[in-house]
Amino acid sequence: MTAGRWLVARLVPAEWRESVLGDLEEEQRRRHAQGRRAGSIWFLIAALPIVLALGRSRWRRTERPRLSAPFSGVLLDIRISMRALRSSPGFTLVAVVVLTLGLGITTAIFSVVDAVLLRRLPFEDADTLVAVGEISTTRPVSAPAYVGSVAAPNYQDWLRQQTVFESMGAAVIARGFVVRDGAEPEDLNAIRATASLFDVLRIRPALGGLFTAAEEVSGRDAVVLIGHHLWERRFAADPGIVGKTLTVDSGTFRIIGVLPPGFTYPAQLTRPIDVVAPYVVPERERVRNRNVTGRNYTLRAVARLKPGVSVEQARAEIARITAGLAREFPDWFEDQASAVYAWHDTVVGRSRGWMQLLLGAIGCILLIACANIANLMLARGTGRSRELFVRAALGASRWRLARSIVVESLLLTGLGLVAAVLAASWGVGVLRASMPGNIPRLATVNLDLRVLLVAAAAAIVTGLICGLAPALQLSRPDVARELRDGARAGHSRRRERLRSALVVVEVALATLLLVGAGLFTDSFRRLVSMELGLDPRHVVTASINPRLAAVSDAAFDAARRETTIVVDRLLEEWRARPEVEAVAAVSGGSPLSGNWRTNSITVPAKPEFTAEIDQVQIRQVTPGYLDVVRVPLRRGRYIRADDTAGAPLVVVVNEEVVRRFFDGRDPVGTFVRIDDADRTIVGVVGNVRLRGPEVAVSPEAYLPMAQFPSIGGTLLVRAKEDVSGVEAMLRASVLRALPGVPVVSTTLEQSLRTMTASRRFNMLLVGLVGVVAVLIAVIGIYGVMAYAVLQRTREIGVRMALGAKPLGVVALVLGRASWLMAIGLACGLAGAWALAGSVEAFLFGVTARDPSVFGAVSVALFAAGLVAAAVPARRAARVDPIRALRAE
Amino acid sequence: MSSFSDKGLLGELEQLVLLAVINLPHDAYAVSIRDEIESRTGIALGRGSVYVTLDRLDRKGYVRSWMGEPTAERGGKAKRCFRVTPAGQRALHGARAAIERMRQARPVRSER
Repeated sequence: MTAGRWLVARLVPAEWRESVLGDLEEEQRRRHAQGRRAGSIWFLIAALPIVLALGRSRWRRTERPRLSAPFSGVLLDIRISMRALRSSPGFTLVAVVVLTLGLGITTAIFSVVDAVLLRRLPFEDADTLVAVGEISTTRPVSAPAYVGSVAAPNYQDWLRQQTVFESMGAAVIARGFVVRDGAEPEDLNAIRATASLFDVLRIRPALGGLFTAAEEVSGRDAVVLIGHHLWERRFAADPGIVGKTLTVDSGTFRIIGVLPPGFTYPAQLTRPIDVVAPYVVPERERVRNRNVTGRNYTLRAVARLKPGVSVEQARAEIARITAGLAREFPDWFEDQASAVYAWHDTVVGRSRGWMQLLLGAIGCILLIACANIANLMLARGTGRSRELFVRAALGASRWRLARSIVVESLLLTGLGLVAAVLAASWGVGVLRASMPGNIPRLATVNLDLRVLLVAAAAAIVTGLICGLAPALQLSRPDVARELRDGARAGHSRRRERLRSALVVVEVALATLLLVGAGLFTDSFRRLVSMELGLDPRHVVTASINPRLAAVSDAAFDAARRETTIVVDRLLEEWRARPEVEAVAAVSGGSPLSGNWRTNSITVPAKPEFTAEIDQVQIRQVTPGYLDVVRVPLRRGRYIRADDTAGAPLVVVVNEEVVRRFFDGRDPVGTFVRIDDADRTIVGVVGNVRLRGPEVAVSPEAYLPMAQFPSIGGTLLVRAKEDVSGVEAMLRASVLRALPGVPVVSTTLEQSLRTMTASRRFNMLLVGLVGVVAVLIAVIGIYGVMAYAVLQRTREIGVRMALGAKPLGVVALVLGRASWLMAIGLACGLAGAWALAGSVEAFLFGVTARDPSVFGAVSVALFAAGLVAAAVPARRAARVDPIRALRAE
Repeated sequence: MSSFSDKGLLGELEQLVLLAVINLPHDAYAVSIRDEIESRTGIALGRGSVYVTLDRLDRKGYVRSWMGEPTAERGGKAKRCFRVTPAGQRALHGARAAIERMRQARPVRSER
């Protein structure tokens, strides 16, 4: 029997049952005859209103079973509450807005943070996965986030001797997987992994099979699994891909399977893995030699704990094995120790502090919202106490009175919750859209209902407690007296003090959050307005990476010469274009790319050499480079076209070099030794924060590319005005000139945005938290002052009848509001001062106790509070004394 | 029509259904009533309202119902057929007359 028929048979009264079934059957057949859809779903949809209508009409007619006594009349309570809420729209609106902001926005923010930072790793039983690695003992910090790679011999000894892991696997980042067939050459994101890695992570291929330990042998390792994304992108999701081959720089591989979608390892990688090939232990890493410089830490290892084994036990076991190895090979372990941590901790470790900060902020918002709800309910309870007294006098039990309040606060919270869900889903959408694309796991951001539930529960509990308090006090007082003194009833000092205290708490918490928001916003403002030392506007870059694997030195030299010639020709061609102002090439790290190369520098005037300090970043540049990025010349000259291979070796340094190695003296004409050759300093240029605004200035040296050849690099083109279109053109012309070489193009402005992305995201979140906090707090101040005025209408009327001026009344109300805010502000600022240490690490260019931020926050919050209090103050000033006195 | 209590008054829905029952002297049942109203007025009533209205009219004594013969096209289920009672006829006339009288009344002009 279908659901629809069952419903009709069960719920429709007997006198109708058969005919309704027959009617529906008839209609169903008729629809079928007309060729329309009329299945069991249709039947159910058609039957439902009939069942409801007839069922209800019978329900009304027959004697309804009584609800058990304590709950009789709940429907009446609901109706009364709805009427009450409708009759005081101001109160209802304020409460709903507070709930919406407090629950909705916090849920939205937490959802995003949770998805980006907290979400469990996308592997089966990820709780039993641990990262196993080595950690340098010379490093001051030993935290999960710093678990490093393992040297191959150590990994193998651990694997052989351990008894705590069910399985253990490892992988290295692999180079040389550049495909050059088809349309555009592409440098694939590849790893070489042990077959056991699939066991550890419990990976099942989407297509085909996995490789086994038998393939971890040189000569048999020419098999790969390809990533799901690569399969779709480059192979059009070909279902017959297994068995085909993939040819890359390092050889031809047989494709044996497709990885499941989204697979990535190590977990920190934001880009999905394209290729996994079997890991073969390199010949020279199979045994430990005495030559310590041969140590190579490359393997990223992960293991799955045996059931019942804790992380601590595993850590102890690996440490024990390592201690044994250290006795045998002391050279290998004098500055290295083993490290075992829950894998999840190693992934989110670095963002933990930030997470805690945000969670704290969200908690504050929730507290403010709850304080606000408490305040509103208390005020309402006070306002209603007369009504409650009347009902009590007429014989209503305490339970009845309490229940009506419970119903009302549940109704109110329910209303707020609906609005909060809408606000939260809207907020998640906005946040997702405004987040930079390089934030990982962005696509998985969804509304987090758990948080919403916790927040809602907090709000409901608060509402109930504070709503019930006035009703429960009813048992004590003398009802008759309360009724007689009605006009002043409920104006209990104690409750008023409690409400004032709540306002103070709200203001204090809002101050705290606003100070935080101010500090983060200020940090970001300073960051983006930071003098970079170069002009990133209108500059397009194209990085060329002819990564040549396994070729002889001669072949390498030939390729380098060839590339140099092609690059020169490209530069020549682009220099001639009308839309181009200047062109150049740089090697050793494009500006703002996050890449750099260092070399030691020896200054004759300052002979003592310390490896840690006497390092410069070096870049090989073509003559136009400093013009293209607009680095100002301070002394001497730029690199010129006549600084050729045959000419005297020259170098241009930045001001930091002068400050650090020459004590500020003019170095032009001095020799310095960089890369085993003496070079004359011919010029000094300004400092450039090439690694982004947050990184301190480093000493830098610019060498002519002709005198320090390199392979690959970045072409930079400064367009006269708009860069739109130039990027695609540059890319196309590089691809034409260097077929088979992968090109990555972007603009300097885009690179800068990417570098500051996470800060922008953080500022957005904290800013939002601050704004919401202030909004709720201001609403709270307004609510309390408005009720206070309402309650003191009679008193104000008396004062005015006795000659008080309206201005005096305004001052009375504002004075009280100011007093509360001043206390709240003082507490909040003190709190912010005390908590400064916890945010210091996330700030830039501003201290956590920045007086201007503290000052601005105080002024802004105070002003907002006064505006909120001004509305009721105005109302108070308009109180008509006659009417106020006559009212009761 | 002073004899009408407000219990005797008919709602629009009730009037529509009653008129449909009158228009279908031989075959008035829920499906045909709904079709009749829709084909003449363009108003597609919800199935639930048709049944509830018939149920109410039955209880007020304005219609009388009986079970028809079961047929194959209805899956062997019988129809519940309706016809209007004299009380139903009177109620319909009464309702119409009341509306007419109200309609004919002129508003009293106020003095300028």
